[in-house]
Amino acid sequence: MAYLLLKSIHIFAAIAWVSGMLLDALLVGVSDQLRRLGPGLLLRSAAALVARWDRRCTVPAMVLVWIAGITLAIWGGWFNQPWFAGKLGAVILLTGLHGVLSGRLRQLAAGGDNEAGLLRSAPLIAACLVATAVTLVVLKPM
Amino acid sequence: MRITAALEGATLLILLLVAVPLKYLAGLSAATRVVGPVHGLAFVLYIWTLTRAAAGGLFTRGETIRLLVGAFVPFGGIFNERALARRARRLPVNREA
Repeated sequence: MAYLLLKSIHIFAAIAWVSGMLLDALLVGVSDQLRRLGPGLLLRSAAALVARWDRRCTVPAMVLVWIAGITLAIWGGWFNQPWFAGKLGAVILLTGLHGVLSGRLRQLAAGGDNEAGLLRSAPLIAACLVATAVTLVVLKPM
Repeated sequence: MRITAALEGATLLILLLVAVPLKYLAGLSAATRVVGPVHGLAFVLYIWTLTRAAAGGLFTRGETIRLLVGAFVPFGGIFNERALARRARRLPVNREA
C-alpha cells in the first residue's frame, strides 16, 4: 500500500513537472516570434508569469519526482537493471533541459534578448525524453 | 545556490569519511545505502541550480567549469560555497545594502 501510494505521488509529481516544463519550453521556443511582434513588454510579462509558476510549482514537482523516484528504485531494487539505467539517463537529460529552460526564462523575464536557437526544439526534445522514460518503465524490456 | 553547494559538499564528505569507512571497516553497508542516494539527490539539485544559473547568464564558462569540477572533488563543495558567497557580495544589490 505504501509503495503504491509513493508511486502515485511520483506519477502526480511527474505530470506537474513535465506540464510545467513544456510551458517553459513553449514560451522559450516562441520568444523570437513574440519579440518580433512588438515591444518586449508582452514577452517579459509572459516570461515573468511562467517563471513564477516554474519557481512555485514546476521546480518543487521536479524535486518530488527525484525523491519519490529514488525511494521507489531502492524499494524495488531496480538500480542494477538495464532498463532503469536508460530511464535514469532520460530523466537526467530532462532535468538538465529544465535547468537550461528555467535559466533562459529568468533571463527573458529580466529583459534579456538572447535568441532561442536550439531551444526552439525544446518541446520536442522534452516530449521524446518523457516518451523514452515512460516506455522503459512500463515495458521494463531488459 | 550556496545552500545546494554546501549540501552537496557536506553529503559527499559524509559519504566518503563516514559511510564508506563504516561499510568497509565495520561491515555496516546500510550507511552507504542511506547516504549514497541522499548525496545523489544533493548532487542533482546542485548541478540543476548550476545549469540554471549558467543558462541565465549569471556565470562565465570558466566559472561554470570551476563550480562543476568542485562538485566532483572532496572539500570542493566548501570552496564552491565560499566562491558563491564572494560572488554574492560583489553583486550591485548587495553592495548598496
